[in-house]
Amino acid sequence: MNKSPRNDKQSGFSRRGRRSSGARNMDSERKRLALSMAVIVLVWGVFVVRLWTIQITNGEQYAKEARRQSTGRVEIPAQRGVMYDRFGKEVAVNVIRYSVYVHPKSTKEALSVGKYFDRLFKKKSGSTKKKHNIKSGKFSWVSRGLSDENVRRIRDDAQPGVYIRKEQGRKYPFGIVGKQIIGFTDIDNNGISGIESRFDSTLRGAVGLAVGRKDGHSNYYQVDEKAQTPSIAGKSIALTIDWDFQEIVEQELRSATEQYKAKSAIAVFLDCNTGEILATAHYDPTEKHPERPVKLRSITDSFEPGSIYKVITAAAILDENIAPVDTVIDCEDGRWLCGRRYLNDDEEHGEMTFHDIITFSSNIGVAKLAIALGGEKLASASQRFGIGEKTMVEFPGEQSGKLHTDMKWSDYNVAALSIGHSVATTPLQMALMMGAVANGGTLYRPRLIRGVIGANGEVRDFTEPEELWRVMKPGSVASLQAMLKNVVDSGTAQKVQSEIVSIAGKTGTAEVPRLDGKGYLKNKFNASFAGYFPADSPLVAGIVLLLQPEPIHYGGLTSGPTFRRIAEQYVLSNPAKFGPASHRLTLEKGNSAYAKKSIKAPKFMGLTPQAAINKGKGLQVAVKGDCYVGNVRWQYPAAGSPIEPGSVIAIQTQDPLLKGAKEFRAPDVIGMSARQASLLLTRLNVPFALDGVGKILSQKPASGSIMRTGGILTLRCQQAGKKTYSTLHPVVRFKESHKWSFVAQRESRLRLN
Amino acid sequence: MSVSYYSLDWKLILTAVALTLIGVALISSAQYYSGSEALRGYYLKQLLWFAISALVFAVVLHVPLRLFDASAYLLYGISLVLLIAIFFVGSTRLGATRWFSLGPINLSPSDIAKIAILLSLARYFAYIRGNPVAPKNLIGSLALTLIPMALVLKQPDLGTSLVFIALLIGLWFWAGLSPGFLALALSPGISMIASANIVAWVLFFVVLLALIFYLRPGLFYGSTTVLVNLACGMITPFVWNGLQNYQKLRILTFLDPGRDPRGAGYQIIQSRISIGSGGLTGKGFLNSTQSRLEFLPERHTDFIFSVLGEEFGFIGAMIVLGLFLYLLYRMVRIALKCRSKFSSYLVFGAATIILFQTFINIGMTIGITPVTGLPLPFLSYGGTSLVFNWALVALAVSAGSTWREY
Repeated sequence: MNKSPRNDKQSGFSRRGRRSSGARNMDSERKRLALSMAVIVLVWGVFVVRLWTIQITNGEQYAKEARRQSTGRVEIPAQRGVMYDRFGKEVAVNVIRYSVYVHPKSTKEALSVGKYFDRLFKKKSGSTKKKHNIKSGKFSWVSRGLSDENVRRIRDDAQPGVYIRKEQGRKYPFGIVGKQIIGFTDIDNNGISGIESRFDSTLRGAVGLAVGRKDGHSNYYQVDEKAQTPSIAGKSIALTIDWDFQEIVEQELRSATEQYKAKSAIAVFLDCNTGEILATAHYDPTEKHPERPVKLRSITDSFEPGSIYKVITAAAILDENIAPVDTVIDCEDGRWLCGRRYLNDDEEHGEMTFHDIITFSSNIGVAKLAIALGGEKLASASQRFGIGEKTMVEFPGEQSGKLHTDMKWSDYNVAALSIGHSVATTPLQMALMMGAVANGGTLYRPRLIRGVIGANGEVRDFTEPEELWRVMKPGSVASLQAMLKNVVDSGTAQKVQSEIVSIAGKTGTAEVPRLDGKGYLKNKFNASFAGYFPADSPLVAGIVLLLQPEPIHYGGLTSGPTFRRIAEQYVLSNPAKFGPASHRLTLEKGNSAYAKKSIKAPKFMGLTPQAAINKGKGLQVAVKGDCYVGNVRWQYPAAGSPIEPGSVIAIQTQDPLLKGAKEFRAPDVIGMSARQASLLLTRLNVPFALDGVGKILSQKPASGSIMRTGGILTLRCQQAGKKTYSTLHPVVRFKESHKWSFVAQRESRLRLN
Repeated sequence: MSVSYYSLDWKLILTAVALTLIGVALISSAQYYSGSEALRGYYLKQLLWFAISALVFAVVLHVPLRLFDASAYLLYGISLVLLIAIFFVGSTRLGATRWFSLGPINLSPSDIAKIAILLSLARYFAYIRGNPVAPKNLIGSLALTLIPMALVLKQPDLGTSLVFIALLIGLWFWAGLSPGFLALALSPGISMIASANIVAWVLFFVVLLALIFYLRPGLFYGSTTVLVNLACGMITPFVWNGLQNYQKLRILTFLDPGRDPRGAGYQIIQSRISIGSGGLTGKGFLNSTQSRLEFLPERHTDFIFSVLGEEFGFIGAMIVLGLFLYLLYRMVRIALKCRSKFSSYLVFGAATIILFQTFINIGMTIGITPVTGLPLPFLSYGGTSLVFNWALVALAVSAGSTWREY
């Protein structure tokens, strides 16, 4: 393989003086090695210089850029404040909720993830992927608020691309009770309606910031536990609402709507000496999502008040000394030409005193007195009572109602206003008006918030009752109160008479204006009763408004009895506040109904007593009460309320008045709570004497034995004479004085990582 | 033929082993926190491929080099067939048809073609009687290279076709072509780049003419060179328009990575941040943020050097560069001492391929060469690539142990 040297100048492009390749000339070898290594070293030199510039000279700058890229701030959600009722019962709390999202790394993974959820949720193949638009490299929520079982299954399956995230969720231990007041939050815990919305910024707190490791897809890892800025838990809110009362009100509104075939029902009850709203709700069977209420019609809707407005008219007449209460007015036998139109009364009245005009609610009588008073004075009295102005209650969407003040006061216009037409008020305004009359003439600002509680339990922004102004002279208040008491005692509201508590108030039966504003609908009425109790030393004022009840549309026959039932139950369940009524009565209270292991009370309504008892056996509840004839028409606790397993549900089957029967069979109340028993016996109209608190241990006469109507049922409970409060979570407890105090430290807040 | 293990170049083998193991470690780090199980297991797959490489290494070692010599053109023919066949039965990934899917293995005929061309060119030059760098031989070897290169370009695979050119230039140099003539040979390429700017192009011609005047290749070759350069410069706009969009983008972003930092320039910028943030000593094994947290694309394959730079810093990069340098030095030494011309060309060609791929890949990660998708020999994840590089080492070791044979 040796070759002869060639003259490279002649025939090749080789290096001068060098033989062709493969030659073993030492000189040339060294040159070739040197040359080739020189090229390599040159390249390596470029590398070294370049790496030096990048890593050493500019290293710090690149490191900074790397840190900037790979660290991100992660928002740490703040614990949302909880809500308490006026006694510290938790009515809106936080729970840990698990949500599942997907972030597939590849198209293949996206496909398998979709199939996985189709199987898990038993959906049609491919539907999950389509519904949530699952794509490779894209974040999508699949389900928020998973059941525990699904969380466990997803964890066990560990499907790639599927992730579970812990989130904060809201829970309302009392279900839809009071929900219209509380409102609700959306899936991201933003307040949407009610107090949740109005006080969103208070409840929300401040998000914290933590430094996290971020990757190229903006996913976060290794969130630093020591947050840069810790999140500040939201403040909690104590409402003025008494949740027991609220429950009573809601239940009665529901049954009144059914009983009187009303379109809907609205009620507000407030502490007439402070303006604190104790309970307020509306019930509308056509509402599709009662768990997601968007309004509270006692505040957000206004109506023509009708005859209950005569209270304001009467107040103005008394205050201006237009007529003493015994002034006799001719009521024109029910038909009187006022201006160019006729004014009618339901009943034909001849001559009546001013006192009786209110008692029997004569439109003509009131109109005549109001004309004597004059439109301007009536309008200014209305303004004093807060009509036509927002009450500035802490609730979103409040209506002001409508009051014409600068109109030409023709006789008819004055007459219309005096009987509560051509004016619009919210039920809350009417309740406040009644509260002012009840407390002796002082108008209070209505309140829903008792106070705001800081994260450490310290009470901030504690609110005092806000007296606005006096609306009446003390002398005229007494006269007016006497009239209102008479309305119940002998007037249009005789059905409101109660043996448990004395009630005063005014009925109203208002025509319903047409939506187009041209006159009124025929035979459509809103029935109302606004009043207060106890009549002699008023504590609570309120209004019950039934919209278009049929066929009975008189306030005194529909709203009135509803008002009475609410008042009676409230008085019975608050012996401490109202003192011993007609019975020696002490009751347990507290939130023992909300236990962690609670079950939902089954529905017994409509069943026969035997069927109810059998159904109860299967569901770990004992059915007791009046279990003899007919079908179940009442139960307590109501279906769906949280109860402890093994607890007793009281039912009622017979008519409360026993239809004039001389004797009846004693209901079985052993095992019931004192409260259940008192509610049932009140409904049955059975007088009873109760000793002690807690569960009823014995009853006399025994259940099933024949009792004479009017006979007293004697009940004996576990402890005698002692009032106890049992709260499951001893968190915050408020005393029933309006100066309330903070009792216990709040439970340590749940952590959200 | 029996192999004396004592006579093997263990220094070369151990250097390659060291590089491969460093690669395995970097691959495991690059995908350590990957959400995908498959990606996390890539370093194990790479270890498996290393075992396969060892097998291939042993086989190549036991096959006499003469057999490779004899079958070089046959292999060349086969690889041409494969390169053509790929257009009909190959699988397309990312817009390029580069692989045969054989079950789980994706076989790339480009790697086979590299070996075939290496063997064929070595054989071509080894059996030339007379001056190997005579113009007809240069043209012959050029033709031998251009045919498969055109097929590879058609796939399209710019990186591999550039490897062919580099190999040819390397062997021209090894055959004795003087640096001046090498420059002339490369001039059409430079002309194409320079023609983007008319002033640069005119300056280029001044230098070219000076070089021709100095080298005096003769009237025919001189004028041919000038004409070819003119032609190349003038067809550049057409070639540019004929390039794939991604190829254009790569060249543009190489020139100015900041023009599209979220898109095409992303890789280059992220790679530089990775390496730069490593500093002198690096962040430590498994502690890289940029490469691990998926800021860096293709971090276990094309941008493995960036992982090295971030985790082991300047010092780590220097060690790996040193290992490569030593590997190339050992190979060039073998090429020098081989008595067989075929072996000598073969080993030098192998060294050229490794050098060029290393240059392009590392250059890409530090922003001095465009992004071409050429893996870093021994370090990048990829089975065929690893086996191919170990085959080159095996050929070198084999040649080194039989250097006395003609």
